[in-house]
Amino acid sequence: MTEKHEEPKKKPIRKYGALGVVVALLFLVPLLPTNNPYLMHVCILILTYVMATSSLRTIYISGQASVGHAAFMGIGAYTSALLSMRLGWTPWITILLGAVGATLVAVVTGYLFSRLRAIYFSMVTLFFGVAIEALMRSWVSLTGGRSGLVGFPGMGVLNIPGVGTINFAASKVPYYYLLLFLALLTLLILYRIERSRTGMNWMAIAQSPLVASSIGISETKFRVLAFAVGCFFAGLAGSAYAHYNGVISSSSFSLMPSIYLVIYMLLGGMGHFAGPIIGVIVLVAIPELFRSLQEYAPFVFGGIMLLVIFLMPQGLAGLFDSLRPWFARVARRGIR
Amino acid sequence: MTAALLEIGGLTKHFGGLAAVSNLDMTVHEGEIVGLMGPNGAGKTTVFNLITGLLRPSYGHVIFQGKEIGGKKPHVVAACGIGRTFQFAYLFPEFTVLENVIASFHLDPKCGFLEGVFNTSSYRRKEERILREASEILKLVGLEREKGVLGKNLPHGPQKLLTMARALAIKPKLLLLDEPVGGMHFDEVKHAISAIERIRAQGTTIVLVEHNMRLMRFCERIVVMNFGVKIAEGTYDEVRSHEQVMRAYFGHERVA
Repeated sequence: MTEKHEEPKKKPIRKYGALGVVVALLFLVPLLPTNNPYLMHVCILILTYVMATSSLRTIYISGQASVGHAAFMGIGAYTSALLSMRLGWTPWITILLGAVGATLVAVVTGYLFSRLRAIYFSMVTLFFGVAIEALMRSWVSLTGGRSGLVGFPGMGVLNIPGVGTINFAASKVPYYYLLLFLALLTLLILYRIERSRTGMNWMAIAQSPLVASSIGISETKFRVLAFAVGCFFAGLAGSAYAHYNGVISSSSFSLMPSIYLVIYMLLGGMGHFAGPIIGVIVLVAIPELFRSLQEYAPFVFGGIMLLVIFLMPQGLAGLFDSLRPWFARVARRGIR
Repeated sequence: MTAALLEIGGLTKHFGGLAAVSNLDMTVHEGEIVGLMGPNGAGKTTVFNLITGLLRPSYGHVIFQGKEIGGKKPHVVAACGIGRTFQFAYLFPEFTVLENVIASFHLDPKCGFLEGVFNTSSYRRKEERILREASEILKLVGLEREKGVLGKNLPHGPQKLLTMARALAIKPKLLLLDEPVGGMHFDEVKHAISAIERIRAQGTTIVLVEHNMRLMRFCERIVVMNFGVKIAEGTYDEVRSHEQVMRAYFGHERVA
């Protein structure tokens, strides 16, 4: 549980009002007068990474610092793409199957890796990520190797009675809504799990596996569960993005993207559910805005990372927390 | 005498060439309170770790309610109904006192993963009941006022009481307390002893490791160990005047 004190029950409108407004605004983004395909692309990118980073945080709250998360996005993406291309299945199904594929791999590897803790766990997930990327790059007959997979069937034209036809090939807007829907669903489910007893068990294991075992929590079971849940949504993000992008290559799922996911999360703040969302928005939007300077992006990332670690170890979301008393003071002074 | 709840026979644990526990026999009956005593390094905590599955016995058996539990995983042993505290105040530092206890109800409802995700009404009812029971347990150990304090911000004494509350939350048939008053000051010890008395009044069987003689006097039966071997067993007065016990604690010369 993230709540450290019992809050008086608020009316639903006050509790969820602001959230509702934000979600409504997100649905209105494509209707902006300044809308253009590029803005849509950045938004879709952000939604994809919000899914991936939030699901990574789920793994982290169970005390498992995975550094191979992008590999599971890749497994989802390749599974889904290959099923659609080779077997001709509709992406509507294969997106889900991609996520299931990533989960299956996660259950097996998560079980094997659950023997290791802390940095050793990070190391094997890192190596696993590198190995998966190498596999994607080298298995040319299946994955197209270095040049990647191209020629997706696309999402086609969806005909919903009463709404009309939605042509996914015509613009990026339908993809935006698809990704928005998936991202919101992901966040809702992850939030619910985190606030349930399962989430509590994860945090308990992260704090002390010894104590957790003494009260009957199976460390292996709950760690594998967290890993599987996290990788399911990573796979979902990867496969949905693959069908949007129409091209996938192994380099999108290599070590660097995995590390970026960790950086997004750390910058946003791991202790907060909103942390990954904030981190992704800040770190995906900024490089896209200064696209001409893109080759310097790793330097900027590195610099930001150092600043975060030294100045605000709780991340941006944690910054709001520590500034809250200050805001309150300023507000009180304002009233006087 | 009532039936044996826990039966330890020929229990042996070697760490390399060192026999931390050797050929220990010990029986705990239902409703009893048994003290496990001995100088530092006698193997008391090792016995606890062997019972709760943190260590695997080299030889011997641990039978709880007629079932062999030696070598089972700790969370399985906990599910059998053995609660324990540790020698040090291990707890969930980032959880509040109340959350520490609530989290320890993991075994109680056998809560389903999806139930929690969908926050069903039966799940909510269960959690409300757990909240009530957790508050009662905190009252039992006398921590009801510290409910909202983070585990890491508690002083040492209340931390140890909290670990006791946590062990109680799994509704143990057998409670193993490893130095429940270790490191506490005088008032805290009094407080802890009355908490243990209240737990005992509920009918929970207790085995405790302790150096504090005030608490030991309170045990019905005491097992004394030295260098991994049981050297005496009996009531407080019997054990206190036992020659080998005196020798283990005070050395040969003083006795003679």
